[in-house]
Amino acid sequence: MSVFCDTSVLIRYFAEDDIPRALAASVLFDSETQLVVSTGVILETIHVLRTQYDFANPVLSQLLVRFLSRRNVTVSDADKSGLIGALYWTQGVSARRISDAIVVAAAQQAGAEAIATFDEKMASPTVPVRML
Amino acid sequence: MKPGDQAVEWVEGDKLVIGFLPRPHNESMLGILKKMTGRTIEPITDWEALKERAWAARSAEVMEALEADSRRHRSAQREDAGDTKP
Repeated sequence: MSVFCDTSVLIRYFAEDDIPRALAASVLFDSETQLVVSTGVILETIHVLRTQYDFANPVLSQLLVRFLSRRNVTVSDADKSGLIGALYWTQGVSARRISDAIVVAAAQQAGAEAIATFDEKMASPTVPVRML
Repeated sequence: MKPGDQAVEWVEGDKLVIGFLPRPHNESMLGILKKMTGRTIEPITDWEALKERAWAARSAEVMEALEADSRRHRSAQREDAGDTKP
């Protein structure tokens, strides 16, 4: 069985803000169920944890690397290994750059030869960045 | 580094950097943020408002990058115009 997980389920599972409800998330996550997330869900989770609760790197990138390294987690719209590698790379920089890592993984999945941007801080360990 | 960890490599300047990712696992991550940081958060009741605030904050960051780019571009144009003055 596979289940697509929304941002709220991820946050509650990680944060355990409401214990009975977090346990409900745990029953699903810590089972044999195949969990599916998208880059959108990952981005939203990071934006919430970073901008609303001030969690920062390396905690956030380590959290995502560890979550995506779970055997029962798949990513619907990016190469999971590429995404884990790009996220790992952001551990030493601001958590703001986690969005870049997700963009890089999507570009890699698409086989793009460059990433076009106006953001001078955009960085990529794999696909070259092209400033316009 | 533990058995099963996976190596990843990337280039930084003129250096090849190798990192090690955790091996695939089935360990529970329930309450992991509390374990990693010692911090707890209040029970979230309004998910919609929370997500909206988060996206607004991210939008502001994107706008900040665009404005910085426009400023750079305008000052480059001014410098170019200045170069052509007698």
